Amino acid sequence: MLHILNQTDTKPFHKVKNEFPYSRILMRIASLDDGEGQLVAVSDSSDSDDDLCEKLHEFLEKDILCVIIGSYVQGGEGNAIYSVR
Amino acid sequence: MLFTVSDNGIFTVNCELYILEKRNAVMQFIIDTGAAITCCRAKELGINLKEEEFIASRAAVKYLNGVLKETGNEYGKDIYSIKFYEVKMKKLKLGTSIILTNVSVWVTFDNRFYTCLMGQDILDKLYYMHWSNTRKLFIADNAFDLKEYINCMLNQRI
Repeated sequence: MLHILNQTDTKPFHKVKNEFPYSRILMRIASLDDGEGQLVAVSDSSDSDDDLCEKLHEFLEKDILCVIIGSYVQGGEGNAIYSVR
Repeated sequence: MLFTVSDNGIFTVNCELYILEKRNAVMQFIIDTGAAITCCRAKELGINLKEEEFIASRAAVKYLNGVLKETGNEYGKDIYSIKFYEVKMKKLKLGTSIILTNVSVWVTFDNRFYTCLMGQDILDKLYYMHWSNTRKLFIADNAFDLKEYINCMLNQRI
């Protein structure tokens, strides 16, 4: 489900990620160098991840700088190392 | 020169991605020296990207293995691979100060994968160093800048 929060206070990314583990989180940022921002929306399932991407691109179209943080891999019981063939 | 702060043990960098002249997306990549390719989910790069178009245009394909681990011993069925298509970037901007041109980002339409990794294909083009006492990772697009910055840091400690 996509949760629109539109918070106005600025929080470091790591605190937000701890607050919403296993979620993808849309943050409004002032600069690409920022490690903090304003929490805009949270997607807590794969069903709403595309909606979060749409929200990201909506903001970018309006020239509002945003980024999605938080990551996970779904569908497995654990992660292993990466290899490419 | 750019640096990223350690974020609970994970180094991340915010990037702007340009397929042509217009900015297509802003993404936060996890810097992953264990990943061979720089990859993300397709919708994050562009909500209108369609897998059929990649197939029709015969875009280059790579498979990432070992990301998913599931029960059973059916490795022969190859349901554990994630398929990625190449998207060539005119420009990739790392933070506010490093710009790389003509690099590729690999996208997947597989919903099981949802992360953005900056792999060795792009990291190979950069210089980086971990600074243990501050737990920061310094990244530069040329050796001279990195050397200057390291000298500056060393002088501050004396």
